Amino acid sequence: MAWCLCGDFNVVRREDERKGIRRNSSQKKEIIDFNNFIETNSLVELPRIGKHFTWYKLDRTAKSRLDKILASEEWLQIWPSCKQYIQPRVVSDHYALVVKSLVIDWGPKPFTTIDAWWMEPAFKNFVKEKWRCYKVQGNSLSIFKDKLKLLRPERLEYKCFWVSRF
Amino acid sequence: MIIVSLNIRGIGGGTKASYLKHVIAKEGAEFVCLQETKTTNLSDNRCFVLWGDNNIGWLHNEGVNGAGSILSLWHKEASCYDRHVVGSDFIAIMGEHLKSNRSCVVLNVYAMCNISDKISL
Repeated sequence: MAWCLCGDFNVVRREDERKGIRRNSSQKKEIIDFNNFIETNSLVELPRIGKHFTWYKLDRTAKSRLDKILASEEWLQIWPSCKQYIQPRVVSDHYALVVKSLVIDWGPKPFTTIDAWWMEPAFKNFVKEKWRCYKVQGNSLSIFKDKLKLLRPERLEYKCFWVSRF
Repeated sequence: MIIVSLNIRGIGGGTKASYLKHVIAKEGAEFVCLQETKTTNLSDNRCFVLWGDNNIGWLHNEGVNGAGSILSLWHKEASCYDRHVVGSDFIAIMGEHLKSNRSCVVLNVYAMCNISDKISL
């Protein structure tokens, strides 16, 4: 099952996640217990974007990272690029956290091959054969572009063959 | 899934409600976890105002004397509620996220004291 735990856990995972608070042994135990809990349940703390601390005492003498987002492996399989974004602090002494997964579109992917492949007749024949099989319509420029697009995933087939020889 | 989580320290004032509404709209939130709502009388209307939408499901755990009160809200267009488990310091909502067609659990936590209890979920 995909799990996500959000909230104010009122406990930290490392000592440097708390500042301005007197340390005692019970806090150390809390940290150990919390990390054990995370480990035994195979949870992951989501990567954080923004501020390190999520809670400030109003006079700013103490600060801690009490608010966290933990997720299970299944959760990360559904939303692999999931992160926690710390929002600006406005109405509470805690910061709001936003969990979201941004998929960035970097634009068209270039067609690439390894130069060494072109020195091999086998690769040239591989390309020739594939090129002939593609049925694409349009003007010559768009045909060229579309055929490269089709060849792009298929060149991996050749790559596997090429790599297997080493 | 887009989730907003905040220890709001009381949702009494209008400023907090309008800030929350602003964040939910800006981020396109699908689920909201609030801790320390410090309130006991929540209604559909109050939650609708918080989100700025009527198509909202919610579950509130009042805690003891308002301390440790937590509120989970979700947009019914984004996820389909299945079942829930409420503990003294958490609310777990199980359901299906409609966009991804996957079932998941969102657990809203406030100051987990007896962590081992949660594992038995």
